[in-house]
Amino acid sequence: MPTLSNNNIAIKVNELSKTYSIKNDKGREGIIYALNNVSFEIKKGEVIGIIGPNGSGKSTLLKIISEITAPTSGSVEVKGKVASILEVGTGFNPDLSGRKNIYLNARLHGMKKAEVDSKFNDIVELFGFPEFLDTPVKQYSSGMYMRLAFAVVVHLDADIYLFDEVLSVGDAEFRRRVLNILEKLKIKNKTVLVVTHNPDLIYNISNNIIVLNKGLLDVKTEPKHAIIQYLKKQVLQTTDEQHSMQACELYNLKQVLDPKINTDFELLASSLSNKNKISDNIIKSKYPIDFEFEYETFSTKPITIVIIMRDYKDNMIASYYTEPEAYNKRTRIKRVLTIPAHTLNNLYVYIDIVVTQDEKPTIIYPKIIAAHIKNEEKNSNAGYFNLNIFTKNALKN
Amino acid sequence: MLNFARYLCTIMKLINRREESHKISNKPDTIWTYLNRSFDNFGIALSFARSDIQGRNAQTFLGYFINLIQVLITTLLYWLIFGYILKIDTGDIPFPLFVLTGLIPWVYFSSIIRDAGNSLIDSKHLLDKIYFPRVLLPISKLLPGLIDFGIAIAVALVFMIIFGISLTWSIILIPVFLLLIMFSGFAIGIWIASISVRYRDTSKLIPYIVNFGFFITPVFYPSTIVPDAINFILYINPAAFAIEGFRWAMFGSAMPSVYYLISLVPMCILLVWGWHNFRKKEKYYADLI
Repeated sequence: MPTLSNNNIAIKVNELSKTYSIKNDKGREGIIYALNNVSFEIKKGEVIGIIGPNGSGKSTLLKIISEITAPTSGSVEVKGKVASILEVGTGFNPDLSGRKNIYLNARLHGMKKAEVDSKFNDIVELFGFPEFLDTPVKQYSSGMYMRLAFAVVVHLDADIYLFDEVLSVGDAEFRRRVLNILEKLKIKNKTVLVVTHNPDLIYNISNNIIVLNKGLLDVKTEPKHAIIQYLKKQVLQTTDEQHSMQACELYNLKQVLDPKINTDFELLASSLSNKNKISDNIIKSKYPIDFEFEYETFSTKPITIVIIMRDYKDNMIASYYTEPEAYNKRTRIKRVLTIPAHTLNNLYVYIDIVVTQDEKPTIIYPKIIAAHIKNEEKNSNAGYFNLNIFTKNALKN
Repeated sequence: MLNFARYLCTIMKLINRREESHKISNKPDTIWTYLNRSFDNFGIALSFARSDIQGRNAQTFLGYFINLIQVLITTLLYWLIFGYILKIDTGDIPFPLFVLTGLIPWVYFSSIIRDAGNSLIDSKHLLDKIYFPRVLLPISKLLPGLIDFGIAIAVALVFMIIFGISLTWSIILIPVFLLLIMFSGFAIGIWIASISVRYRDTSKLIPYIVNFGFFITPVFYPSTIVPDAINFILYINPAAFAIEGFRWAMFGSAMPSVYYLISLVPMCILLVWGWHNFRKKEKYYADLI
């Protein structure tokens, strides 16, 4: 019996390769590497995100760890029981009711009947539609279908959980629940691997992120670094402007939109705070809020800095422009935008900074700030209405 | 004694291996590990079977009885053609009962071959997404037909009473021949399933094989009318053995010839061969299907 020498390691991947032979249009057989000599270790209790572009071998990796398919060479040592959800609703019988499918699916994943009985209420609670338990699942909406499948799997008693691209479906409420569950698994010292295209979902809870690219292990490191590395590549590769804009979100990633314009601009720091700040992301609106940002610039042509505030649906709440300014030598400037009390009540606010030249955006820092502005006083429901407060006077040099 | 303790330890380790650390590589499991794993996860086969049975009966009018009605209608048809028009002589046994007792085991036998043989291709979505010992899929196909078999046998016994045929002690042998059907149907099914991964033609061929088998099996004719020169066709056919055995058990007619035991040889070969294929290659089934 192979044993893992180190007790702390849950999964040890050893020079793992997986090849598939494919036929091209001329009928010749070729070999592609879905995974190419990948090695890494995952400690017990870690939450690991796996990101990478399509065809980078993320799913293949999970399939090998869950023994759905065998590697071509190399090995994986796994310590503990594995529960995997690689696709939502696998093994569901569409003709049967939700209740029956809960039992069948749990059994399919290796749960005993008594176990299902004891966890049934929790499963239904997470599923969230007790009134549809006796409806055939073919009549479920795709969201409900997925919630049911997910509810079953997270209640499996395993040591290692594998999730493939399941977080990106479902509504915001469900996603929040899923993240809660992942947190709980993390507290229980379970090992979790999550494959996703949407890194900001796992950004906060993962210990490490693995970036795969064309079957090769690019990097395994702490989330922020890994995501930036990954997105940089995506931005560089992509030609679709919309996509590259999205790719930059939340990661404070500078994006140069027009490389022809030679502007030297570096954002050094930015913060949102007031007297009643709870954390970096939650701020109470009882007192005026200061948006501080510091930058260094050197530009012979005048530049304008635009501050854009958006809500979580990307609707613009407000924007502010500075006067055009030019600097002949490298200058460090700190500015403060004061937002009066009770103006952004109960909003999720994202702030972008855009540098423009000749009325064209040249550099963009999307989502440098993401914050929840909370209001404790019940009767005050300002918000979208007080947009006129963003006057020039609010901006102090 | 020490050896025995060591042996027990090994078994315990193997049983708990999924909780302990296990190694995933491209090497097939050893025979012992493989059998152990299949056995450990047997609940999954039951779960497949339950899903099949409940799914089959969902949104139907006749539910469990649809199969029975098919069998009865076929019996009626064969009685009309072979009993009434062609006048095949079945001795003391009334023709409808003769056909019925042939059809019930045959229908079960052929359904095992068909369902087990196609089980991998039909469950591509499962193979691709969930781990389980793949051999559990064909195994699970043994159960749904068993229910139809039970219902049909009960009805056949009622008909026997109506026709005034007294039961003999040999009726207790029904389970033996039932096991024979399951064993040989499964042996053929698992072998077909194991090659269906590579050669998709099997799903097209199965109906012809079953159809061919039907005519060389004494379902609607007694084995006594087969010329001695081609008797060997009967003796290598496990379904012929099972059906002869069934009639013996039900009517206390002539005992099947000992030569029928020959038919077990190819079945054993197919079973071991098919199972071996599964053990060797099942880790790649998800890629191949």
